Amino acid sequence: MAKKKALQLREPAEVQYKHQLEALKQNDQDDKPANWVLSPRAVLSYILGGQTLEAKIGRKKTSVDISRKFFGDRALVEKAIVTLASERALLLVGEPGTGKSWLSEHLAAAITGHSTLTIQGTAGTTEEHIKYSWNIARVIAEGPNDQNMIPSPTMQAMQNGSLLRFEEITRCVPDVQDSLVSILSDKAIAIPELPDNNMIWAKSGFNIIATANSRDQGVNDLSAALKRRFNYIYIPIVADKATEIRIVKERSSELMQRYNIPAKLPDSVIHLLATVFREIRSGVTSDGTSIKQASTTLSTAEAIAVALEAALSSQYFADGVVTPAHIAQNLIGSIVKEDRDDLKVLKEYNALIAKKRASSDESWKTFYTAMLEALH
Amino acid sequence: MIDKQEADQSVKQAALKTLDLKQLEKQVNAVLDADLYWFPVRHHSPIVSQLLQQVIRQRKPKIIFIEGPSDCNNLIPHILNSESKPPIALYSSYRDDDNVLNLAGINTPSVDIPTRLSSWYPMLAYSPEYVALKTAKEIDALSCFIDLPHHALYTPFVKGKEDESPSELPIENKQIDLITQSDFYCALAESAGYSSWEETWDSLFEFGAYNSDPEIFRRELATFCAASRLTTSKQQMEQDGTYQREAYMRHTIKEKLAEHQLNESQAMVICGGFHLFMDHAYDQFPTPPKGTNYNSLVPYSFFRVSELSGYRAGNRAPQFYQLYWSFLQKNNIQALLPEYIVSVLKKGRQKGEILSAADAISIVQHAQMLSQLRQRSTPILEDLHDAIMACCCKGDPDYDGLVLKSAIDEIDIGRVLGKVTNDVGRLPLAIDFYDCLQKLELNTFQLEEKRVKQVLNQQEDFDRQRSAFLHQIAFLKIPAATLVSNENQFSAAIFKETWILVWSPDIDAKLVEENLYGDTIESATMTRLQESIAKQSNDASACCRILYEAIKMALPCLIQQLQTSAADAIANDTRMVSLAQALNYLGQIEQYSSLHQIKKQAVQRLIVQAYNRACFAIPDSATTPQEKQYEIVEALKIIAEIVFKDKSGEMDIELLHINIQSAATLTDVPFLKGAFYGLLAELKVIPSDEVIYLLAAYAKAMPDILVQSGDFLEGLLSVSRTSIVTGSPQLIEAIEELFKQANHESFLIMLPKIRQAFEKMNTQSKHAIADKVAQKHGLKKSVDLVALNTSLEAALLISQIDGQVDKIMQKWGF
Repeated sequence: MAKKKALQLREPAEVQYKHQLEALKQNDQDDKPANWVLSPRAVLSYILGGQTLEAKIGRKKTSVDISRKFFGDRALVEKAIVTLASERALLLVGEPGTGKSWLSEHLAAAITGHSTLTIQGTAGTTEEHIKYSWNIARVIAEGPNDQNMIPSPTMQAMQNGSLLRFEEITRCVPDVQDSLVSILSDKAIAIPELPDNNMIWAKSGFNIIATANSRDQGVNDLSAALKRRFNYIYIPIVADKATEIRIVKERSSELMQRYNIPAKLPDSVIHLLATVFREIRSGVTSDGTSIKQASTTLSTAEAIAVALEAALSSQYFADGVVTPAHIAQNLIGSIVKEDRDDLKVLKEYNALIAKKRASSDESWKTFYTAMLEALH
Repeated sequence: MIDKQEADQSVKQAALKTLDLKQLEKQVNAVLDADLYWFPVRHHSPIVSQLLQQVIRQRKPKIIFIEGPSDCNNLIPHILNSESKPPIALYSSYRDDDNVLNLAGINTPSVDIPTRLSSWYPMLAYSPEYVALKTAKEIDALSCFIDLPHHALYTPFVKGKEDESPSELPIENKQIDLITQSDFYCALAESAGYSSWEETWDSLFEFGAYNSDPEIFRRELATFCAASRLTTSKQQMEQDGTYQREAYMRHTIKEKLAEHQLNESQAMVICGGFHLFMDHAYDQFPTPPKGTNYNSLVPYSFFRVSELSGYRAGNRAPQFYQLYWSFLQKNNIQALLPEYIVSVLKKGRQKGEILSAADAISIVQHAQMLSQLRQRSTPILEDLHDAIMACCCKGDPDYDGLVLKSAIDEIDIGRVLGKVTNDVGRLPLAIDFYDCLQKLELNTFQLEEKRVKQVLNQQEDFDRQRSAFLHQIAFLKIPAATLVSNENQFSAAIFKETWILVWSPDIDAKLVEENLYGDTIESATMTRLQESIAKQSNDASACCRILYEAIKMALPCLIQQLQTSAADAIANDTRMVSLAQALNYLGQIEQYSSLHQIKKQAVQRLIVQAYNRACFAIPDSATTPQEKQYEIVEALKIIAEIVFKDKSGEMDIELLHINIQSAATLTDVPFLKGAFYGLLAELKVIPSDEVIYLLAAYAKAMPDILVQSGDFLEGLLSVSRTSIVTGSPQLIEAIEELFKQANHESFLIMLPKIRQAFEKMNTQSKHAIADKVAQKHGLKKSVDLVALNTSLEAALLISQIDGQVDKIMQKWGF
């Protein structure tokens, strides 16, 4: 069992944060909507963190710190929670890497206790993935009946009064997306193959959290009918630098733990990484100089990925301490993706901004030199 | 539904931990149990107004003291006049004629311009101060304002003690700043998750106190303010004049009670809750500085009182709170939520959004659930806005939600305009304005409140006077007149102007504001012009524009001063574009000189000065960044045109040649190189063949240089008019050679610039080039190709062949 756990790369939120969820449950005094594990206010506390609660975990009474899971605007989380308790479904929309799936997973974990009823939207997603399919061999032998039907995650969520997570909904073709219209309006799935039991009705608590990438806008837009059934919550890129630094720090240290990387990631390096990302993203440096903007989103998630790759490099190819040079070596792949012109952006940034800072700051000097070598 | 008191209590408890509660309670009891009855208020709060009205009617005081500017007490009867309708505002202005504050030249552009200060004190139908005045009249009580005049807080400026001068924030704002910076407030807001003062106020008091007993509300608000004051730094209150104002208020109350032989129990004080706990140890207050002071009552509008108009102490949603006030009076606030949401959706639909009744239902549900989650007894404006955006905005609120946001703003703010009784005397500037309208026979639009078109012929004296006056009011931004066309480009109508005159209630408000700058339209215009010129002392273009405007406004006494300023600015300005624009204005002034009796020689001197400076500035433009390069070419064209038109012989054309040549040699930018060389060819400094040779040289260069030929050509054609384009088959040769040498990729890079270059030419020049290309390739002119000139037999034969071809094609399935 221990070996199996060691092999598992990541655990779902409800397992990873089970003590926090349990502590919130034990301290929750507010009314809960039907089939919700926690009340809306407790869900908000779980997402925003900041509390320390007394709870009985196993046989021991202990203090449990509720950590912050999402660093965005409080009002945004409140609107998302309220939507999930209402008639309408929730669509989290935003640039890649802004934490949509992360928020969706934590909302599902806190509201229903599990986050694994998920459909991943792709160009190959079919109506069967959304509704139900059949065990063909048994259907040939016995004909269609309840036992031969394979319920989709949607159907399971409806039967349990639970939440369905629909990732990247706009990657699915419109015909497939529209199969959600009746599910969201009638709260039912019709099964014409079973005349005696031809409707599956959703229990109270059923709802959908979908995510969509704003860069996919115009590819497979939701139909007007479906749009009406969703409340859209737009998740922006983190606005302030301090918060972004905090997110990079916390998430990269979590990931380093998960990958068993004992490397050290100093605060000054995280600060440098966040500065580079923010400046190239906005096209303006902290002292107001205009620079070229990259065409890629340069999300906080991308910065976290760079930090992790830098930690891996330092662990396996150096002394285990991440330096600005490791950041520089791993930055190119993150910034230069689809457009080769982004390489020019990086070169200009290094030649104009990093070089100037290098004259008075050792970290920037290391970064500048390594970047010069990497860009060569 | 959450129990309201329980919810509010839990929030307040968290913040109270930082306080000495016994001291707080003692302080609150001392004030609330005193003989003099204090009622804490917040500006523009419907709930405070409602409760205050109840208290006044119940207590029936003999006199009501109100925190408002005491120098406006004479305006109270006008506020209460049945013809006056809110929104209205008390307006005070002060001009430091003798510079007693030592601020001339520090907060004004020059030492000759005196400091001017002004303040607005708006009142809405639901402002507690307004409701108190009305209710006082209803019960036959006296009422009076007790605060310091706004300019009294300004003390003479002492160098090195800049920080001690009071800020220019509205007084109401100072109190909000003190509260929101207090430790108590910060702890409270953090614990409850309030993101703004408005959200805090609405959650705890505006909506949280609905149906409260006035005495409970008074105690709660007083306790909140006491806790804030106890955790605010004394230094801050000293600095912003809080203590001085409070000492003055106490003094006025005492004086008025003695004057009317009343005792404290017969009086009531209505002021910001912060002042309930004034420190009696401070008894010094300043006397207002000497100068010119005007007070007036003026009509106001919901838009001006809203924060969108920039008045920070304003009201974020005047129409929303007006709606709330009307439902409060009907004791039916349940109707507020659906009424508001339906109005927003209706406005959104008018703006093209697809919003259904189902959306309205969802918004109501969402807003109620949000308010519950946020521990509020009823939804407040934040909940309503969030619910509308969540349910109706399908994407990024800052992009996809802009229409919806503007619908929300329109419904929140509204378009209501106030009215003021005619009994209020007009300020001198307004008197002059209306006198001028009458004298110049321009008052039809005002008398009949309609839109009037006025065509003026400046060759006639009377129309010239009218034109000058209209230019003056347009310059002062008094929203009465708009110049729609100045037809001076057509020789037949060279001196004609067309104006549209429209009546608007904003005219009076603007006249009141501008009264600070002078007692007549002419003097206010002159002051404004002087201010503008002082701010633009090194900008040749701006100074010459001001001179040009002053001439149109017929202000001869200013012309000489403005000419001197323009000369100084030209001497100090080193920017070629600015100097060229200055030349442009001066050229127009020269044209007008006879009409406006301007000494032509003085203008010509300025033109020569600007021309010389502009020529010297040309080489510096050789390294101009890309985004400014088009401006450079336009400026070069202006300079060249001026020199072409010059008949005086004062302009040294050699100076222009030398500097353009120098710039052409210096620059590495192909576009500018093309423009400089093109201009040299136009000026006949170099033969046109030389420019074409430079263009042709690109064909022999490496591909990365070759692709720049499009930029060179664009620059060249931007300035060339005749000599190169029409007379040069070599140009066509050179372009063809470029196309031959460029591979497909290079051609694609060059193409947009080449296309842009030809777009700059007029149709005639384009046709001339097309003809030359046609002829070069052995074709005749296009007209020859189109004309059909054949015999009847030949036409018959062609027709038969066409028929056969048609049959074959049908057979082949086409």
